[in-house]
Amino acid sequence: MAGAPKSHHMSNELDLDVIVVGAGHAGTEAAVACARLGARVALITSALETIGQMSCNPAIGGVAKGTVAREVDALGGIMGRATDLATLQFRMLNRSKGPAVWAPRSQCDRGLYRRAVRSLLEQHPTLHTVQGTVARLLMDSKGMQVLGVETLEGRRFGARAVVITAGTFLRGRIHIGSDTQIAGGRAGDPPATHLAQQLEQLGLTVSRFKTGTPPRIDGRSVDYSRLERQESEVEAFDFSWSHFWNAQRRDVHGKTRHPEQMPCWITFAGREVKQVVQKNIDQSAMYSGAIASRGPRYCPSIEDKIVKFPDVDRHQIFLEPEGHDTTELYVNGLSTSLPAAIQLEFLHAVPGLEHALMTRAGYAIEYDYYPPTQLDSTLQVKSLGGLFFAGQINGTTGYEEAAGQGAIAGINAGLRALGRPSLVLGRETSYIGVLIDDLVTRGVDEPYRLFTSRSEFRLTVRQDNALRRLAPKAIELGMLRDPEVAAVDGRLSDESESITIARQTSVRPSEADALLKLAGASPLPHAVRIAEVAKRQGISLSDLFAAAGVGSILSREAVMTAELEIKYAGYFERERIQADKLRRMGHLALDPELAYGEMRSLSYEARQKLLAARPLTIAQASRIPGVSPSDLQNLVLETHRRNGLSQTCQD
Amino acid sequence: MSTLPLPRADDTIVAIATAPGRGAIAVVRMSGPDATRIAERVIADFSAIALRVAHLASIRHPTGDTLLDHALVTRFQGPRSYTGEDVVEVSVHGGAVVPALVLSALISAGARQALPGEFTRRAVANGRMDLLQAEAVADLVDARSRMAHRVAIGQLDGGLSHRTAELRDAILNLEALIAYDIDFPEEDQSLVDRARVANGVTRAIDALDDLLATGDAGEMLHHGALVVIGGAPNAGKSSLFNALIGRQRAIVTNIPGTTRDAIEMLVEIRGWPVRLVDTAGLRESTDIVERLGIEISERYLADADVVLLCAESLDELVVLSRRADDLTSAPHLVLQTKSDLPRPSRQLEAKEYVPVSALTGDGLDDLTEKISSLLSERFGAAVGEAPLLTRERHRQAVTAARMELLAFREAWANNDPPSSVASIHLREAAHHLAELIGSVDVEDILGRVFSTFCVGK
Repeated sequence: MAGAPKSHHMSNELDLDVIVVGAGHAGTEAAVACARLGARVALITSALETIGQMSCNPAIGGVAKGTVAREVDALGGIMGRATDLATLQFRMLNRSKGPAVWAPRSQCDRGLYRRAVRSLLEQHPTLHTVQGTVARLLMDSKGMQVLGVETLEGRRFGARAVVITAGTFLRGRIHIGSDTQIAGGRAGDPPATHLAQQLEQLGLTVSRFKTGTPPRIDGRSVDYSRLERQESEVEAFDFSWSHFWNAQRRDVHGKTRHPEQMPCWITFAGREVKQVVQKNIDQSAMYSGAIASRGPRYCPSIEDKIVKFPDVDRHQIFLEPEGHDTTELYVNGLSTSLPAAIQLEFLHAVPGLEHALMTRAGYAIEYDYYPPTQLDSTLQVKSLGGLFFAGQINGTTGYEEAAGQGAIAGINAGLRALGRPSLVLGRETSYIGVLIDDLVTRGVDEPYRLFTSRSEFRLTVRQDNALRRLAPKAIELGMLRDPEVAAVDGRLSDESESITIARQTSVRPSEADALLKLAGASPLPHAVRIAEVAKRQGISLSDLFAAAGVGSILSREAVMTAELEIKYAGYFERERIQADKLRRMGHLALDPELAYGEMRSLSYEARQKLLAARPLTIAQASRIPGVSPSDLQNLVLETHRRNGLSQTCQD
Repeated sequence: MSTLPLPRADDTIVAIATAPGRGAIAVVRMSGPDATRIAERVIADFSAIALRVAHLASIRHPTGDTLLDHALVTRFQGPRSYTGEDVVEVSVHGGAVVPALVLSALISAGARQALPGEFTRRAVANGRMDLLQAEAVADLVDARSRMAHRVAIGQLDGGLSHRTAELRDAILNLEALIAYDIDFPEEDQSLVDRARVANGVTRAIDALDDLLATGDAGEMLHHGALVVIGGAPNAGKSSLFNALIGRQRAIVTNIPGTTRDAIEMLVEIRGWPVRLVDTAGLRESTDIVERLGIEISERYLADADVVLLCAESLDELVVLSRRADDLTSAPHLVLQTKSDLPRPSRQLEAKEYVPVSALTGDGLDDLTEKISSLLSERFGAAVGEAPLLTRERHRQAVTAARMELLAFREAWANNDPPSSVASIHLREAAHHLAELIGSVDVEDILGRVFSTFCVGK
């Protein structure tokens, strides 16, 4: 490589299986996944103190994201565990829309979260943490294969695979108003520019996105009497299935002892805020033209909300505690790139914040990302052996999206380094599978965030069954230790047993009457199987078990999952049928070398798109925008013809 | 059920596109990537022929130099052609020999005899038309009345496709509303209004009902409106039958599946395809039929779109007019079959019966006008500009979509199952409609649709 001579003669300080660059939510999961596979891994970050930093809002979970957090947890990841150790307020979103889409979300104490992550990393004997800024990748003589990294400090580490999880640090540029621009990966941290330059030299296409954060305020300056108080939900919830590693966290009744819960506060940005923003819109970095790149549609700045929804008079704002040991509050809903003085002005226009002191100004940040169609389904760069990308540099937004990618990139980097076959999660197995499939086949044109509507498996891919979906894969790969495997088996067999008990045990009218009356349902004519009664509206399986005096030793979560499987069996079956259809069609493999350019039966646009994406299956091809149904037909016909199959049809 | 090999999609196919038999000209159509190369071996100076302009050229067998015909040749270059591939159309002299010789020459030069429907199938596969439009091609070729023709042309223009796509989009928009509600539980915008979704579903159900209601008209276009002649023996039913078919264009002389006892003809009456039935000689058993001494088949009565009740004598005319409503619930006309008879008594208003004379033809115009207006009342709304369901496949898909929407509406009203679960009904409804156009499960549907095609389309 050019620019190598300085370190040419040096030997590696350590030779590892995998190096992970960056220790945010993607990097930490990647490193843990490698360590769990038994690989020797180094996690290199520019500041060890900021490992596991929540750079934006202090919360984990939410719609679809909560499911991802639990999927990462099922694969042995640390996000769920750290959340349970750091949570200060829990809510289950979407309670009214059915348990299939319940979405757990925890506000977290930033400090507790960060420390939990670091301590969880340090439990893995083959995982080393290294402070340093990676200046460049070490490549083989042909520039085709990664051999390690070298830091700005001149330290060299060799590895068979490198996972880059640089977040917003690659050529990061912070904007506070139209005049103030600071180079940085996060407020207070320098950007990484050397690595960005090398990646571009290696032929990777690079593009720019932006994202933003709101200001934060001193809680002591808030008039709480004007705010609506939002308490944590009383019901304790664990993101992680496995807390045996810290048994003291359970009290004598087996309940999780989370940190002390704190309230959030709800207020709104009304007309006055609107006026302030409208008057100063030309000073906004995003609206003055200082930032040209695209930002997330789904997490808009207050400027965006006011310009795009001029008719809406109230925008909800959540004041979220930063931690137990500080009064600082995160002003969720007021993300902005206006100058600090203007931020203070509109903060003071918010009810309850009339005298607020701003501890940190909000800012927008612009950063490099690499269009993820350059990656394969294992998140490895197609053109460079052993180089993996995960997280925000793939154009995504959100901690959970980053963590999910980190886990998969880490697993595959580890498997590659150990000479083992790779792991690809299908869309029907997980939101992580949907996320990665979307990224590598469709690409992104705005920061990508997960939604339930991105998945065709909203009912069968749920937060409550993440363990059943993914833990067996982790076990198969040898990522879980014996006591963990036993815990997983226990939980899953509780589920099966709940279903068996419900099918085989009858509940007598005298036992069920009170329950049924409460739900407004008609009484039982005679003893009826529990599974039948549980299908009625408003009747829970656990209540029926209690009434019939069975299943008391089964885990509460397992009974909940069993209840869903019983209540909505017919619907889940329909979704599974659709899934099977997709899998069958999806498994129709496409030759990656297919000469799309010569297929004149395809539209010009489809040929271009297929050439760019080179999908491996018909299912992937079907999700590429611009590939029409008739293009797909032709692909199917062509594939059958090439396989020499004759297709049957009915008449 | 049968198994058909899926035809190759990348070779060059050829077929005689016109009906067999004596005719001034016949058209041989060829389509595929090698159409030009093959044509060059058979058609003189083919490479010099301009695109999309008919050109006179001599046709020779590729081996040997036998002159087969002088023919008009038109070249089309894909994708601007019927199939989306390179197409050559040769208008040769008709009859039994010339078209077959030209076909055989093209096959010798490298083309393959096309399977039924294969040209249209390629047009669908190449995105030149969707499935509904492909079916309209078959309907257009098979059209047996001006009405059927008009509907097929409308369908070929994408009428039903657009309507179906619109409805599918409306349903997907409802699903999107529910998804939005799930994905943004705490956003600024108010939660989705329950009434908005309920109304949207009801509108979609109503629209599907309207579409299903056109199924009868679609059926009618295929099989003809059933017009049944009944009446007393010797009332002149057969003469009227013959007069009506003699006057109108007889389209089909033999309808399979009819009984020996009834005579059927498919005729066009003022643009309507009509299955005209004379139940002469039938004496079936409902009491009233017995008592009135009417000859008519009960079987036909039940399905009739229009019933023509014939009477000759004055007395019969009076009784028929009074009891016609008891006899049939179908729209009906009472005919005085011999207009040379004396005028009926003043107990009957002239507007209550139609005088016709099979002998002179008097009154037949008036009769066909009245039949046409009864058919307009029955089918008129459906055969206007709005698209029609013309096949059982359409009816099944729309019915299935409707059932899903009904299930969703009930779930939404009771919040059981909850919206996240119930929305699977919306997805499936949209899926059924998409299947109609051909956007999903394409292979399966392609086979089914094209099994009914004949060669050359």
